[in-house]
Amino acid sequence: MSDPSIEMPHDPQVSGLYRRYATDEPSAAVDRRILALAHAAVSKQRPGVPPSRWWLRWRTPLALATTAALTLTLSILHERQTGERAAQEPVEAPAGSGPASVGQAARGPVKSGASVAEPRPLAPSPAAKAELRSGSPAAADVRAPARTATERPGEGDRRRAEGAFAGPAAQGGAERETGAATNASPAAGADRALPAAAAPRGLGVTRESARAETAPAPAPSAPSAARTEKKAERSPAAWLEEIRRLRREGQIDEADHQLAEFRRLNPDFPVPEDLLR
Amino acid sequence: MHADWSDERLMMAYRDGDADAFTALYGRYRGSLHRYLVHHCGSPAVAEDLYQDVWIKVVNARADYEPLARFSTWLFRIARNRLIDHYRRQSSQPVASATTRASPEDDDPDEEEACFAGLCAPDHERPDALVERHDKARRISEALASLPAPQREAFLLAEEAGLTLDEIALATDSGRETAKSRLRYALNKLRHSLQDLL
Repeated sequence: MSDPSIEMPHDPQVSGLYRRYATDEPSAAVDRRILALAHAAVSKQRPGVPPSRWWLRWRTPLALATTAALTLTLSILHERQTGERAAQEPVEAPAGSGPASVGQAARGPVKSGASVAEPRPLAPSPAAKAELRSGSPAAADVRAPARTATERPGEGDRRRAEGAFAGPAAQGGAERETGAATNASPAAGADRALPAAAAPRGLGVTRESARAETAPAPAPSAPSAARTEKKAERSPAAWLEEIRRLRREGQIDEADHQLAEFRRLNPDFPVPEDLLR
Repeated sequence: MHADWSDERLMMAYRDGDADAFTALYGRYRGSLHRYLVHHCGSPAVAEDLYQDVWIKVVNARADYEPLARFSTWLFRIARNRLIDHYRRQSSQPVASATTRASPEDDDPDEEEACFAGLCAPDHERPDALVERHDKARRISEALASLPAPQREAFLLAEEAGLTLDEIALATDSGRETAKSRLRYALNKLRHSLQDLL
Protein backbone atom coordinates (compact mmCIF):
# COMPACT_ATOMS: atom_id res chain seq x y z
CA MET A 1 0.00 0.00 0.00
CA SER A 2 1.32 3.41 -0.92
CA ASP A 3 2.09 6.07 1.64
CA PRO A 4 -0.99 8.23 2.26
CA SER A 5 1.14 11.31 2.79
CA ILE A 6 2.60 10.95 -0.72
CA GLU A 7 -0.76 10.37 -2.36
CA MET A 8 -2.40 13.21 -0.47
CA PRO A 9 -2.64 16.27 -2.69
CA HIS A 10 -0.82 19.02 -0.94
CA ASP A 11 0.06 22.63 -1.71
CA PRO A 12 2.25 24.04 1.06
CA GLN A 13 1.82 27.66 -0.13
CA VAL A 14 -1.96 27.51 -0.18
CA SER A 15 -2.09 25.68 3.10
CA GLY A 16 0.32 28.14 4.71
CA LEU A 17 -1.66 31.13 3.45
CA TYR A 18 -4.86 29.65 4.71
CA ARG A 19 -3.48 28.89 8.17
CA ARG A 20 -1.88 32.32 8.45
CA TYR A 21 -4.98 34.32 7.74
CA ALA A 22 -7.90 32.06 8.49
CA THR A 23 -7.92 32.52 12.24
CA ASP A 24 -11.60 32.77 13.00
CA GLU A 25 -12.54 31.54 16.42
CA PRO A 26 -15.76 31.29 18.38
CA SER A 27 -16.55 33.99 20.87
CA ALA A 28 -15.70 33.58 24.53
CA ALA A 29 -19.40 33.61 25.39
CA VAL A 30 -20.00 30.59 23.17
CA ASP A 31 -17.04 28.82 24.72
CA ARG A 32 -18.37 29.42 28.22
CA ARG A 33 -21.84 28.27 27.26
CA ILE A 34 -20.66 25.04 25.70
CA LEU A 35 -18.25 24.20 28.50
CA ALA A 36 -20.88 24.89 31.13
CA LEU A 37 -23.30 22.62 29.35
CA ALA A 38 -20.69 19.88 29.00
CA HIS A 39 -19.73 20.09 32.66
CA ALA A 40 -23.36 20.10 33.77
CA ALA A 41 -24.02 17.00 31.70
CA VAL A 42 -21.47 14.97 33.63
CA SER A 43 -22.00 16.59 37.03
CA LYS A 44 -24.87 14.21 37.81
CA GLN A 45 -22.87 11.31 36.51
CA ARG A 46 -20.58 9.44 38.88
CA PRO A 47 -16.93 9.66 37.81
CA GLY A 48 -15.73 6.58 36.02
CA VAL A 49 -19.23 5.33 35.32
CA PRO A 50 -20.57 5.73 31.81
CA PRO A 51 -24.05 7.19 31.53
CA SER A 52 -26.63 4.46 31.70
CA ARG A 53 -28.66 3.50 28.72
CA TRP A 54 -32.33 2.63 28.83
CA TRP A 55 -31.80 -1.11 28.89
CA LEU A 56 -29.25 -0.76 31.66
CA ARG A 57 -31.78 1.10 33.76
CA TRP A 58 -34.35 -1.70 33.33
CA ARG A 59 -31.88 -4.54 33.69
CA THR A 60 -32.13 -4.97 37.46
CA PRO A 61 -35.93 -4.75 37.75
CA LEU A 62 -36.35 -7.20 34.88
CA ALA A 63 -33.87 -9.62 36.44
CA LEU A 64 -35.67 -9.44 39.77
CA ALA A 65 -39.07 -9.95 38.19
CA THR A 66 -37.81 -12.93 36.21
CA THR A 67 -36.26 -14.48 39.30
CA ALA A 68 -39.44 -14.01 41.29
CA ALA A 69 -41.55 -15.56 38.55
CA LEU A 70 -39.19 -18.51 38.25
CA THR A 71 -39.16 -19.07 41.99
CA LEU A 72 -42.94 -18.96 42.17
CA THR A 73 -43.29 -21.40 39.30
CA LEU A 74 -40.82 -23.84 40.85
CA SER A 75 -42.58 -23.57 44.21
CA ILE A 76 -45.94 -24.37 42.67
CA LEU A 77 -44.50 -27.30 40.73
CA HIS A 78 -42.77 -28.62 43.82
CA GLU A 79 -45.97 -28.30 45.82
CA ARG A 80 -47.93 -30.26 43.27
CA GLN A 81 -45.35 -32.98 42.93
CA THR A 82 -45.12 -33.37 46.68
CA GLY A 83 -48.87 -33.66 46.95
CA GLU A 84 -49.04 -36.28 44.24
CA ARG A 85 -46.21 -38.23 45.81
CA ALA A 86 -47.95 -38.14 49.16
CA ALA A 87 -51.11 -39.37 47.53
CA GLN A 88 -49.25 -42.30 46.01
CA GLU A 89 -47.31 -43.20 49.12
CA PRO A 90 -50.16 -44.91 50.99
CA VAL A 91 -50.48 -47.35 48.13
CA GLU A 92 -46.81 -48.12 48.08
CA ALA A 93 -46.28 -48.11 51.80
CA PRO A 94 -47.53 -51.56 52.72
CA ALA A 95 -45.12 -53.18 50.33
CA GLY A 96 -42.18 -52.35 52.54
CA SER A 97 -41.20 -53.32 56.01
CA GLY A 98 -41.78 -51.20 59.07
CA PRO A 99 -38.69 -49.01 59.01
CA ALA A 100 -38.96 -48.48 55.29
CA SER A 101 -42.48 -47.32 55.72
CA VAL A 102 -41.38 -45.04 58.45
CA GLY A 103 -38.83 -43.59 56.10
CA GLN A 104 -41.51 -42.95 53.58
CA ALA A 105 -43.57 -41.26 56.19
CA ALA A 106 -40.61 -39.14 57.03
CA ARG A 107 -40.34 -38.09 53.42
CA GLY A 108 -43.83 -36.68 53.54
CA PRO A 109 -44.12 -32.92 53.70
CA VAL A 110 -44.31 -31.33 57.07
CA LYS A 111 -47.61 -29.57 57.28
CA SER A 112 -49.14 -27.61 60.05
CA GLY A 113 -51.84 -29.31 61.97
CA ALA A 114 -52.58 -31.08 65.17
CA SER A 115 -53.07 -34.60 63.98
CA VAL A 116 -50.06 -36.59 64.97
CA ALA A 117 -50.90 -40.11 64.05
CA GLU A 118 -53.74 -39.69 61.66
CA PRO A 119 -54.34 -43.00 59.96
CA ARG A 120 -53.06 -43.28 56.49
CA PRO A 121 -55.28 -45.55 54.48
CA LEU A 122 -53.65 -48.19 52.39
CA ALA A 123 -55.83 -47.37 49.46
CA PRO A 124 -57.35 -43.96 49.77
CA SER A 125 -60.74 -43.44 48.32
CA PRO A 126 -61.18 -41.12 45.37
CA ALA A 127 -62.55 -38.50 47.70
CA ALA A 128 -59.48 -38.77 49.85
CA LYS A 129 -57.25 -38.47 46.84
CA ALA A 130 -59.09 -35.36 45.78
CA GLU A 131 -58.54 -33.97 49.22
CA LEU A 132 -54.90 -34.75 48.97
CA ARG A 133 -54.54 -32.92 45.72
CA SER A 134 -56.60 -30.00 46.82
CA GLY A 135 -54.36 -29.55 49.79
CA SER A 136 -57.17 -29.25 52.29
CA PRO A 137 -56.29 -29.54 55.95
CA ALA A 138 -57.65 -33.04 56.06
CA ALA A 139 -55.48 -34.02 53.18
CA ALA A 140 -52.55 -32.39 54.81
CA ASP A 141 -53.15 -34.55 57.81
CA VAL A 142 -53.07 -37.62 55.67
CA ARG A 143 -49.94 -36.55 53.86
CA ALA A 144 -48.08 -35.79 57.01
CA PRO A 145 -48.86 -38.18 59.77
CA ALA A 146 -45.96 -36.88 61.82
CA ARG A 147 -47.40 -33.54 62.75
CA THR A 148 -45.48 -33.06 65.93
CA ALA A 149 -45.36 -29.35 66.23
CA THR A 150 -47.48 -29.60 69.31
CA GLU A 151 -45.65 -32.50 70.79
CA ARG A 152 -43.73 -32.27 73.94
CA PRO A 153 -40.02 -32.92 73.49
CA GLY A 154 -40.01 -36.17 75.39
CA GLU A 155 -42.98 -37.51 73.59
CA GLY A 156 -41.03 -38.10 70.46
CA ASP A 157 -38.63 -40.42 72.20
CA ARG A 158 -41.42 -42.34 73.76
CA ARG A 159 -43.14 -42.73 70.46
CA ARG A 160 -39.93 -43.68 68.77
CA ALA A 161 -39.54 -46.43 71.28
CA GLU A 162 -43.07 -47.50 70.67
CA GLY A 163 -42.52 -47.29 66.97
CA ALA A 164 -40.01 -50.05 67.27
CA PHE A 165 -42.90 -52.35 68.05
CA ALA A 166 -45.44 -50.59 65.97
CA GLY A 167 -43.83 -50.86 62.59
CA PRO A 168 -46.66 -52.61 60.88
CA ALA A 169 -49.15 -50.26 62.38
CA ALA A 170 -47.18 -47.31 61.19
CA GLN A 171 -47.37 -48.55 57.65
CA GLY A 172 -51.04 -48.07 57.30
CA GLY A 173 -52.08 -46.48 60.48
CA ALA A 174 -55.31 -48.28 60.02
CA GLU A 175 -55.12 -50.16 63.23
CA ARG A 176 -55.35 -46.99 65.22
CA GLU A 177 -59.08 -46.83 64.88
CA THR A 178 -59.58 -50.44 65.66
CA GLY A 179 -58.18 -49.91 69.12
CA ALA A 180 -55.71 -51.82 71.19
CA ALA A 181 -58.12 -54.54 72.03
CA THR A 182 -58.53 -55.68 68.49
CA ASN A 183 -54.95 -55.28 67.45
CA ALA A 184 -52.84 -58.35 67.13
CA SER A 185 -49.79 -56.59 68.42
CA PRO A 186 -49.92 -56.26 72.17
CA ALA A 187 -47.38 -53.52 72.23
CA ALA A 188 -49.39 -51.26 70.05
CA GLY A 189 -51.20 -48.58 71.96
CA ALA A 190 -53.24 -45.64 70.97
CA ASP A 191 -50.19 -43.95 69.54
CA ARG A 192 -48.64 -46.98 68.02
CA ALA A 193 -49.42 -45.82 64.53
CA LEU A 194 -46.97 -43.02 64.93
CA PRO A 195 -44.02 -43.72 62.69
CA ALA A 196 -40.74 -43.92 64.40
CA ALA A 197 -39.49 -40.98 62.42
CA ALA A 198 -42.37 -38.81 63.38
CA ALA A 199 -40.96 -37.63 66.63
CA PRO A 200 -37.58 -36.46 65.33
CA ARG A 201 -39.18 -34.70 62.43
CA GLY A 202 -41.66 -33.05 64.69
CA LEU A 203 -38.83 -31.82 66.78
CA GLY A 204 -37.35 -30.03 63.86
CA VAL A 205 -35.02 -32.68 62.52
CA THR A 206 -34.57 -32.60 58.79
CA ARG A 207 -36.00 -35.20 56.52
CA GLU A 208 -32.64 -36.78 55.85
CA SER A 209 -31.72 -36.95 59.48
CA ALA A 210 -35.08 -38.45 60.27
CA ARG A 211 -34.48 -41.05 57.63
CA ALA A 212 -31.03 -41.76 58.94
CA GLU A 213 -32.35 -41.97 62.44
CA THR A 214 -35.02 -44.40 61.52
CA ALA A 215 -32.78 -46.58 59.44
CA PRO A 216 -31.27 -48.54 62.30
CA ALA A 217 -34.60 -48.89 64.09
CA PRO A 218 -35.30 -52.47 65.04
CA ALA A 219 -37.30 -54.39 62.55
CA PRO A 220 -40.78 -55.50 63.50
CA SER A 221 -41.34 -59.01 64.58
CA ALA A 222 -41.20 -61.47 61.76
CA PRO A 223 -44.77 -62.80 62.02
CA SER A 224 -46.17 -59.31 62.19
CA ALA A 225 -44.20 -58.17 59.18
CA ALA A 226 -45.16 -61.26 57.28
CA ARG A 227 -48.79 -60.71 58.07
CA THR A 228 -48.65 -57.13 56.96
CA GLU A 229 -46.93 -58.12 53.80
CA LYS A 230 -49.53 -60.74 53.27
CA LYS A 231 -52.27 -58.20 53.72
CA ALA A 232 -50.68 -55.94 51.25
CA GLU A 233 -50.26 -58.60 48.64
CA ARG A 234 -53.54 -60.38 48.80
CA SER A 235 -56.54 -59.22 46.90
CA PRO A 236 -59.83 -58.29 48.63
CA ALA A 237 -61.34 -61.55 47.51
CA ALA A 238 -58.45 -63.50 48.94
CA TRP A 239 -58.71 -61.54 52.14
CA LEU A 240 -62.40 -62.38 52.46
CA GLU A 241 -61.58 -65.97 51.83
CA GLU A 242 -59.01 -65.81 54.60
CA ILE A 243 -61.63 -64.39 56.93
CA ARG A 244 -63.97 -67.24 56.02
CA ARG A 245 -61.22 -69.68 56.76
CA LEU A 246 -60.62 -68.11 60.18
CA ARG A 247 -64.29 -68.41 60.99
CA ARG A 248 -64.35 -71.97 59.88
CA GLU A 249 -61.39 -72.67 62.10
CA GLY A 250 -63.14 -71.03 65.03
CA GLN A 251 -60.95 -68.00 65.31
CA ILE A 252 -63.89 -65.71 65.56
CA ASP A 253 -62.15 -62.79 67.19
CA GLU A 254 -59.41 -62.78 64.67
CA ALA A 255 -61.92 -63.11 61.85
CA ASP A 256 -63.98 -60.20 63.18
CA HIS A 257 -60.88 -58.13 63.52
CA GLN A 258 -59.83 -58.95 60.00
CA LEU A 259 -63.29 -58.18 58.70
CA ALA A 260 -63.38 -54.84 60.46
CA GLU A 261 -60.05 -53.97 59.05
CA PHE A 262 -61.11 -55.12 55.62
CA ARG A 263 -64.24 -53.00 55.69
CA ARG A 264 -62.33 -50.01 56.81
CA LEU A 265 -59.68 -50.33 54.16
CA ASN A 266 -62.04 -51.40 51.43
CA PRO A 267 -65.21 -49.49 52.11
CA ASP A 268 -66.45 -49.83 48.56
CA PHE A 269 -65.92 -53.52 48.25
CA PRO A 270 -69.15 -55.45 48.82
CA VAL A 271 -68.85 -57.81 51.75
CA PRO A 272 -70.63 -61.13 51.21
CA GLU A 273 -73.70 -61.79 53.29
CA ASP A 274 -72.25 -64.83 54.95
CA LEU A 275 -69.48 -62.78 56.48
CA LEU A 276 -71.82 -60.07 57.71
CA ARG A 277 -73.72 -62.56 59.82
CA MET B 1 -2.46 16.00 32.78
CA HIS B 2 -4.63 15.83 29.67
CA ALA B 3 -2.16 17.54 27.37
CA ASP B 4 -0.55 14.37 26.10
CA TRP B 5 -3.72 12.39 25.89
CA SER B 6 -5.11 11.43 22.50
CA ASP B 7 -8.43 12.83 21.37
CA GLU B 8 -10.05 9.46 21.69
CA ARG B 9 -8.79 8.96 25.23
CA LEU B 10 -10.05 12.39 26.20
CA MET B 11 -13.47 11.66 24.77
CA MET B 12 -13.67 8.34 26.59
CA ALA B 13 -12.61 10.03 29.80
CA TYR B 14 -15.35 12.57 29.30
CA ARG B 15 -17.82 9.79 28.59
CA ASP B 16 -16.86 8.32 31.95
CA GLY B 17 -17.47 11.59 33.75
CA ASP B 18 -14.21 13.53 33.47
CA ALA B 19 -15.35 17.07 32.63
CA ASP B 20 -11.80 18.38 32.38
CA ALA B 21 -11.13 15.97 29.55
CA PHE B 22 -13.84 17.68 27.57
CA THR B 23 -12.30 21.07 28.25
CA ALA B 24 -9.01 19.85 26.82
CA LEU B 25 -10.72 18.32 23.84
CA TYR B 26 -12.75 21.42 23.20
CA GLY B 27 -9.63 23.54 23.23
CA ARG B 28 -8.10 21.43 20.50
CA TYR B 29 -11.01 21.72 18.08
CA ARG B 30 -12.77 24.95 18.86
CA GLY B 31 -10.97 26.99 16.18
CA SER B 32 -10.88 24.40 13.45
CA LEU B 33 -14.50 23.41 13.85
CA HIS B 34 -15.60 27.02 13.92
CA ARG B 35 -13.66 27.84 10.76
CA TYR B 36 -15.00 24.75 9.05
CA LEU B 37 -18.53 25.91 9.72
CA VAL B 38 -17.89 29.55 8.94
CA HIS B 39 -16.27 28.79 5.61
CA HIS B 40 -19.02 26.37 4.75
CA CYS B 41 -22.08 28.43 5.51
CA GLY B 42 -20.56 31.85 4.94
CA SER B 43 -22.34 33.53 7.84
CA PRO B 44 -20.53 33.86 11.19
CA ALA B 45 -23.82 34.16 13.06
CA VAL B 46 -25.25 31.02 11.52
CA ALA B 47 -21.93 29.27 11.94
CA GLU B 48 -21.95 30.05 15.64
CA ASP B 49 -25.37 28.50 16.07
CA LEU B 50 -24.31 25.43 14.17
CA TYR B 51 -21.10 25.33 16.17
CA GLN B 52 -23.02 25.16 19.43
CA ASP B 53 -25.34 22.52 18.06
CA VAL B 54 -22.43 20.34 17.05
CA TRP B 55 -20.87 20.45 20.49
CA ILE B 56 -24.22 19.79 22.13
CA LYS B 57 -24.54 16.71 19.96
CA VAL B 58 -21.08 15.62 21.04
CA VAL B 59 -22.05 16.02 24.69
CA ASN B 60 -25.31 14.15 24.26
CA ALA B 61 -23.75 11.37 22.22
CA ARG B 62 -20.94 10.72 24.68
CA ALA B 63 -22.60 7.59 26.08
CA ASP B 64 -22.50 5.91 22.68
CA TYR B 65 -19.04 7.05 21.73
CA GLU B 66 -16.66 4.27 20.82
CA PRO B 67 -13.21 5.00 19.40
CA LEU B 68 -13.87 3.19 16.14
CA ALA B 69 -12.32 6.06 14.16
CA ARG B 70 -10.41 9.20 14.95
CA PHE B 71 -12.25 11.67 17.07
CA SER B 72 -11.78 14.37 14.45
CA THR B 73 -13.49 12.19 11.85
CA TRP B 74 -16.42 11.68 14.18
CA LEU B 75 -16.60 15.33 15.14
CA PHE B 76 -16.50 16.70 11.61
CA ARG B 77 -18.97 14.10 10.45
CA ILE B 78 -21.38 15.42 13.05
CA ALA B 79 -20.66 18.93 11.83
CA ARG B 80 -21.24 17.93 8.24
CA ASN B 81 -24.56 16.29 9.08
CA ARG B 82 -25.57 19.39 10.96
CA LEU B 83 -24.71 21.50 7.94
CA ILE B 84 -26.80 19.26 5.70
CA ASP B 85 -29.74 19.66 8.07
CA HIS B 86 -29.22 23.40 8.01
CA TYR B 87 -29.18 23.57 4.23
CA ARG B 88 -32.24 21.41 3.99
CA ARG B 89 -34.11 23.74 6.28
CA GLN B 90 -32.92 26.82 4.52
CA SER B 91 -33.38 25.28 1.11
CA SER B 92 -30.12 26.94 0.37
CA GLN B 93 -26.96 25.47 -0.98
CA PRO B 94 -27.59 21.73 -0.96
CA VAL B 95 -24.48 20.17 0.41
CA ALA B 96 -25.99 16.70 0.46
CA SER B 97 -26.89 16.75 -3.22
CA ALA B 98 -23.55 18.23 -4.09
CA THR B 99 -21.75 15.43 -2.34
CA THR B 100 -23.56 12.88 -4.42
CA ARG B 101 -21.76 13.95 -7.52
CA ALA B 102 -19.60 11.17 -8.81
CA SER B 103 -16.57 13.30 -9.61
CA PRO B 104 -15.46 16.92 -9.55
CA GLU B 105 -15.32 16.91 -13.34
CA ASP B 106 -19.08 17.35 -13.25
CA ASP B 107 -18.63 20.91 -11.97
CA ASP B 108 -19.39 23.64 -14.51
CA PRO B 109 -16.00 25.14 -15.52
CA ASP B 110 -17.48 28.35 -16.97
CA GLU B 111 -19.28 29.13 -13.77
CA GLU B 112 -16.17 28.48 -11.73
CA GLU B 113 -14.04 30.73 -13.89
CA ALA B 114 -16.59 33.47 -13.53
CA CYS B 115 -16.33 33.12 -9.78
CA PHE B 116 -12.57 33.21 -9.84
CA ALA B 117 -12.59 36.39 -11.96
CA GLY B 118 -14.73 38.12 -9.37
CA LEU B 119 -12.49 37.07 -6.49
CA CYS B 120 -9.49 39.11 -7.46
CA ALA B 121 -9.20 41.89 -4.94
CA PRO B 122 -8.39 45.45 -6.08
CA ASP B 123 -5.08 46.91 -5.03
CA HIS B 124 -6.58 49.89 -3.17
CA GLU B 125 -7.83 47.53 -0.44
CA ARG B 126 -4.40 47.23 1.24
CA PRO B 127 -3.91 50.45 3.22
CA ASP B 128 -2.06 49.08 6.26
CA ALA B 129 -1.11 45.83 7.89
CA LEU B 130 -4.31 45.38 9.83
CA VAL B 131 -6.52 46.11 6.94
CA GLU B 132 -4.29 44.00 4.78
CA ARG B 133 -4.64 41.10 7.13
CA HIS B 134 -8.37 41.47 7.28
CA ASP B 135 -8.51 41.70 3.56
CA LYS B 136 -6.47 38.59 3.03
CA ALA B 137 -8.66 36.68 5.42
CA ARG B 138 -11.72 37.87 3.56
CA ARG B 139 -10.22 36.87 0.23
CA ILE B 140 -9.42 33.44 1.49
CA SER B 141 -12.97 33.11 2.70
CA GLU B 142 -14.30 34.22 -0.62
CA ALA B 143 -11.98 31.87 -2.46
CA LEU B 144 -13.23 29.06 -0.36
CA ALA B 145 -16.81 30.11 -0.85
CA SER B 146 -16.31 30.08 -4.58
CA LEU B 147 -15.33 26.43 -4.54
CA PRO B 148 -17.92 23.79 -5.25
CA ALA B 149 -19.19 22.41 -1.97
CA PRO B 150 -17.55 18.96 -2.27
CA GLN B 151 -14.17 20.51 -3.06
CA ARG B 152 -14.46 23.04 -0.27
CA GLU B 153 -15.45 20.30 2.11
CA ALA B 154 -12.48 18.15 1.15
CA PHE B 155 -10.11 21.08 1.57
CA LEU B 156 -11.50 22.08 4.97
CA LEU B 157 -11.48 18.53 6.26
CA ALA B 158 -7.87 18.18 5.24
CA GLU B 159 -6.75 21.56 6.58
CA GLU B 160 -8.89 22.01 9.68
CA ALA B 161 -9.51 18.46 10.81
CA GLY B 162 -6.26 17.04 9.50
CA LEU B 163 -8.01 14.06 7.97
CA THR B 164 -6.36 11.72 5.53
CA LEU B 165 -7.85 10.81 2.18
CA ASP B 166 -9.47 7.73 3.59
CA GLU B 167 -10.94 9.68 6.47
CA ILE B 168 -12.23 12.37 4.16
CA ALA B 169 -13.82 9.70 2.03
CA LEU B 170 -15.39 8.19 5.12
CA ALA B 171 -16.62 11.50 6.42
CA THR B 172 -18.16 12.51 3.12
CA ASP B 173 -19.55 9.11 2.15
CA SER B 174 -17.48 9.01 -0.99
CA GLY B 175 -14.68 7.00 -2.49
CA ARG B 176 -11.04 7.55 -1.79
CA GLU B 177 -10.22 8.56 -5.36
CA THR B 178 -13.15 10.94 -5.42
CA ALA B 179 -11.92 12.60 -2.27
CA LYS B 180 -8.46 12.83 -3.71
CA SER B 181 -9.72 14.46 -6.92
CA ARG B 182 -11.84 16.93 -5.00
CA LEU B 183 -8.93 17.94 -2.85
CA ARG B 184 -6.62 18.34 -5.82
CA TYR B 185 -9.13 20.48 -7.70
CA ALA B 186 -9.72 22.60 -4.62
CA LEU B 187 -6.02 23.28 -4.16
CA ASN B 188 -5.58 24.17 -7.82
CA LYS B 189 -8.49 26.60 -7.79
CA LEU B 190 -7.39 28.21 -4.56
CA ARG B 191 -3.88 28.63 -5.93
CA HIS B 192 -5.34 30.21 -9.03
CA SER B 193 -7.62 32.58 -7.15
CA LEU B 194 -5.06 33.51 -4.48
CA GLN B 195 -2.09 33.67 -6.81
CA ASP B 196 -1.25 37.28 -5.92
CA LEU B 197 -1.12 36.44 -2.20
CA LEU B 198 1.24 33.53 -2.53
